[in-house]
Amino acid sequence: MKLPMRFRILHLLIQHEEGLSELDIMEALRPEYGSEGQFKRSVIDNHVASMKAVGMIEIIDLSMGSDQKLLHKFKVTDYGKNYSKYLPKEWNANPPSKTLPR
Amino acid sequence: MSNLSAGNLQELQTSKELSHAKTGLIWGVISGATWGLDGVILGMALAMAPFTGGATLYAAPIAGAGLHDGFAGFWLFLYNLFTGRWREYIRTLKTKPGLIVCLGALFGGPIAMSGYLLGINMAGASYALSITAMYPAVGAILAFFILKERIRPRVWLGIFLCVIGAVTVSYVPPEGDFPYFYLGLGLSLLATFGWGAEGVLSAFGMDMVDPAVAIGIREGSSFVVYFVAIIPAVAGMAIFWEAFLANAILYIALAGFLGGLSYLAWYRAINMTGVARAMAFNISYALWAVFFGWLLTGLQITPTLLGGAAIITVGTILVTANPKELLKLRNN
Repeated sequence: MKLPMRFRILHLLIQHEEGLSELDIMEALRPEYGSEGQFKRSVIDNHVASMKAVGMIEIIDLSMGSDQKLLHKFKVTDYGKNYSKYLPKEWNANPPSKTLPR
Repeated sequence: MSNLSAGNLQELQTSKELSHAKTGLIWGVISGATWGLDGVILGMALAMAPFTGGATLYAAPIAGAGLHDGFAGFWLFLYNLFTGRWREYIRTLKTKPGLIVCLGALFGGPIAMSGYLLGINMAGASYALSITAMYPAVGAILAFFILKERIRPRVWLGIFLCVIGAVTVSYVPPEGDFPYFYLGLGLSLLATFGWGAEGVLSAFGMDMVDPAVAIGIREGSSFVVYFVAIIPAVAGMAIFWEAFLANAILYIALAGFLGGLSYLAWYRAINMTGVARAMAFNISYALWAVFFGWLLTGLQITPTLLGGAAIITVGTILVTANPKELLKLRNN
């Protein structure tokens, strides 16, 4: 079963405590959500902006991407990690691989 | 590659976050304006056949409210279909956050709306409207304690003024005899709590779910409860089906469209600016309803209405005065 995309982004960041950029997140989600209309940079930007505003994730690095858009490295906060208790059992028991597709 | 310094990048980031927050405020304004227009159109529909009759006193308004949420859910599903989010419905419903959104729907839809309509009937519009106008204050208190939302004293004052303004605008002199007066007050309080709780439950659910999907589920589940339980309980099924053969259905479909847009804007505002601010904007519908009522139905503008409108305007300005506060919504 797939998670709602926002929840999946949180799950991904919980798995990767070292932090991920928007582009890393997109690459990681592409196999699962890549064929869907919602799979867009703007939608993912909106998800992470909202998650940051409520304190679930934080920015640990900031740079300018080659497309002249700000590129962030996001890391899950302790508050954000708390939400893992709402994950369906199969996602807690058998999480997808930690390796990001490259 | 760019040679921007860390300071420049941080500045760009702050302006990006501010723009996100301000977009949330604009969604809040849209939610109030469209809800005000929605109420006027729904009122026009409920003044037409078959809503002028009914087996019981509550049959017509409840059937109308159910149809309204059904249409809103339908339009929102189309929106989610065309923006590639439709698969998120089932995924969301299989998770706890999705069920929390449904619980919010139950509170804000059938429970609050039925309490509101019954409250008006049993205690009179003056008391029921004044009590239910307090829902932003209830929502802000719940958000403060449950979500640890940051609410500064100025924002509390703004919310308070919005509530006072809405009561002023909605006030009608008490008249008539109400044998179930206290039950009506209780039901009005239930509606107030229902709308306040919906804001907090949906805000929590939307931490993990797209707002557009959350509101699609909210309207859909609200409609299902109306259709399966509430409308049959008030003997409203006949009116429900008859409406499809009357012109009123076009008005309900339009009201449902506006309601869907309003709720989409409200949920987005909750998600982007927090429950307290979004609710302060949402209740400005009382002001917008006066404006659209004047424009479309020849509603007479009185000094009381103008006074209430001025209070709401001052309240919303106080709520939004410093968008930088929106960069961190919660104390966590």
